[in-house]
Amino acid sequence: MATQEELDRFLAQVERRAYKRVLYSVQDHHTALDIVQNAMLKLCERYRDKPAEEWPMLFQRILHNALLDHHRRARVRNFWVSLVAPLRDRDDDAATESLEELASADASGHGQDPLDAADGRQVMAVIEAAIAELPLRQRQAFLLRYWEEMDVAEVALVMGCSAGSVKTHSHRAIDALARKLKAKGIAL
Amino acid sequence: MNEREERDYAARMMCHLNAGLDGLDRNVLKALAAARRHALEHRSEGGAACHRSPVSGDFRYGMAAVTVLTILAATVPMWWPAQRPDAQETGHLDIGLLTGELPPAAYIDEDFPAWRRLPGLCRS
Repeated sequence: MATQEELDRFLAQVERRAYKRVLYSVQDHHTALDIVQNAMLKLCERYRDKPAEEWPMLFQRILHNALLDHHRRARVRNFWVSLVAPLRDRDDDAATESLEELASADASGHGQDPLDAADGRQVMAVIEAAIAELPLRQRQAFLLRYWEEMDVAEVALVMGCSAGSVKTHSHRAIDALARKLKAKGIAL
Repeated sequence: MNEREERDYAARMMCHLNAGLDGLDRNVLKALAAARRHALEHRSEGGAACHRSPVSGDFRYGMAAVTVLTILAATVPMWWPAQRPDAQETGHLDIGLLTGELPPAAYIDEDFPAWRRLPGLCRS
């Protein structure tokens, strides 16, 4: 049976990547922390007696399912919000529009300035933004395969889909990321 | 991009992402460490309580205490007077006053308390 220290070491290894992966999806620091903490709790509670070699797969699966649950709940919440949206003040709409205009202006301006892209932190921010914009399954396939260094079969098991589907998702993800980064003047 | 180019591109991107991990905010790292400790403590407790945080535990105990106090507050005022030994006697005296069996001035009579203590009176 695995010891407490082994479990601690494993969680310490994966927690930062897990947090970032969830953050790309949910875009909220507190929600990301909650999801990661719940995944840790679930792993400790249900799978503590499993061999340590199985933990990475189990943890990624728990995390993936937690993300899917979060997005399902968000969809339901957004549905009800969209029903109430027409009742909101026009001022709110005007404010939202101006924010959208600012965001799009900022995005278009950013791509035209290659000097900005030279800054490492900005490159990082652009990469993270591009990853966050990917569809959920593409992002999960890409990050599990290349960041968590899982093979295609393992990613397929975590995501509950076929190996071919994983390859397609990760190929599309890389393609989309390369196009977005190129448009912003970033060549990796 | 072919598969090899994809892998190379992804590897270069992962270098940036890994570098980003080192720059994570200190508060985030603290929060993650606390979450890990909490999960491991939960493990050492044997997983008796599912996903219990200290806050939710306190809340549960608080709710139980409030429920018990509410039940006590509702039942004690009803139960306590009925248990007093003179409660029934006072009731009989009230009935006697209302039916005219006792004059209202009985209460100012000096011998009235002694009379009350006599057995068998006002109990018909």
